[in-house]
Amino acid sequence: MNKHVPDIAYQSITEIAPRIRSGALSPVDLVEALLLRISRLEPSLNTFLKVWGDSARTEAQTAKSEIESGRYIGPLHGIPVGLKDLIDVAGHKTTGGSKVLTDNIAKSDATVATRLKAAGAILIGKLNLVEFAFGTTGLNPFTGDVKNPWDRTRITAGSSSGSAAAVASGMIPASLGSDTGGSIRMPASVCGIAGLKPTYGRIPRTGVLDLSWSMDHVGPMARTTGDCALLMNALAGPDGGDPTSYAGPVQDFTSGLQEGLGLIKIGVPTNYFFEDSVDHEISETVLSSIDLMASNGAEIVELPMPWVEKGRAINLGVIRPEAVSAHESLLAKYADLYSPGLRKRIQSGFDIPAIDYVRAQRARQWFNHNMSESMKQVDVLITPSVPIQTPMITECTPPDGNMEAGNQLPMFTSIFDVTGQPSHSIPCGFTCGGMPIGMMITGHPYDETTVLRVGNAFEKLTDWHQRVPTDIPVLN
Amino acid sequence: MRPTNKQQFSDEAREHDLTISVDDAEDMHRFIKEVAQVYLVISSIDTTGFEPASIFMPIPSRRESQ
Repeated sequence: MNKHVPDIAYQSITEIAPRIRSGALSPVDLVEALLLRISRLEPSLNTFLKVWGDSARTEAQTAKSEIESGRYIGPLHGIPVGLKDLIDVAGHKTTGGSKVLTDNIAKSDATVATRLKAAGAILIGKLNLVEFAFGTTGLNPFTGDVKNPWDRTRITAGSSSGSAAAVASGMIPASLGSDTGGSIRMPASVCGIAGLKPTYGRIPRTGVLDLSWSMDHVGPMARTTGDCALLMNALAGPDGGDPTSYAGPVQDFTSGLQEGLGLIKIGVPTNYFFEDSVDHEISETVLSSIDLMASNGAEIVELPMPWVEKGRAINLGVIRPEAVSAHESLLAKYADLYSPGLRKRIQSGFDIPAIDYVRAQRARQWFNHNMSESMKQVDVLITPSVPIQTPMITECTPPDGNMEAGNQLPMFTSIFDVTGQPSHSIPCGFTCGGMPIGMMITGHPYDETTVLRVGNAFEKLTDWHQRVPTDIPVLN
Repeated sequence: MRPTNKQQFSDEAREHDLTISVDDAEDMHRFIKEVAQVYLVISSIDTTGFEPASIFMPIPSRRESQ
């Protein structure tokens, strides 16, 4: 069994699925190998809040029997997937990484959990996160800090901290996260994996804890862009339980993956995303990646976007009042069970006048208008995912930590929660210190296919997504 | 009218059924300054003609057939 571990741990779903389909790899062996890996790595990384070993083994045996009897469902059949612990699975706790919901047993599955099961995926457990997903560094005073597999003294970013680190360390091939200001793409970038925030409404949020309902997105995190596309095929589509879910047609998200960069127009903002305040190693690496794509058929269009710097304020201006509303009843009952920092942050929002919230939503319309005007010239925008190098955990831990890092991390990602555009972070290089650098590919609303096409084309030109984390215990 | 000191803030919080100590109010006053800065940026935008997207969606329904 052990001889499979190094092989399986870092393979993509795209690589594993044909082996499962052909019978060369049993889902039972896959699950056993990954459970063993989880048991050995988990004490060092703290990615999981709960591992469902027994049910995963049972589901793997069922998948094996189904496949052997000719009932192969598709590429997720027999693939273990982890869920951020704000996604309901019937009969299991959904804690939101909080003390408040320690005993909150879900009565039914979130729609995304139902859809993963229907696609044959094996739900292997719940992943650590920032308390109520309201934070960017990945730190959590109750559940413990998730460690970055590339350097365990550094943050994973968040709030989908466990979802990113578990994939990056080869414990699971894929996970689900959520993104309100960048909570899929920041940890994906910082941990060196692929993370897609789809268009707002593409994946239903039924059974997923709210933070800010007009900004919240659920999306896949995986080793490659192609794997994100496979997960999208299982997850996307309208849902009666979520009135904001998109009722339009659902395409095959893998359909454009092999089309390459020919005729693709890449927009590169001339301000904000590449200014001097952005870490130079990061901006230079992303610009080099854009050059590589230009030399392989893409056309580059420089885009002045003088209005874009207002995006983060609009993101916060909407999130704050919506988060206060989402937490109002829980706060009234359980204020003492919140961490003091989060409680004060939420409570400070009760004083926001209604007119400020309406102004923020109006500003959002203005912002989206500007974005769609700029996007008329291009298929995708390419920018860095985060503007700073990955801070140390101690740098972000109160009371002594510099909290500024938490404010800087979402400066770029949050722009596209405001607009609801599909936005995808993939690895595009490393810092001199050996930490991953992420590049963000953002497309037109409902055009995930082009975003995924560009991401896959870049991965074909490079091997950054195949690099293996350097700061996890060696397993024999 | 926004509270201008931590005692006022604590008092106002109580009116909203939120129990906030005066010490908490000091920390929250810092958060409130951050929030005020956010809305200062937003207020600087001329949003004439950009009404908010609908946040109310009617739920389709019909009379059940007898």
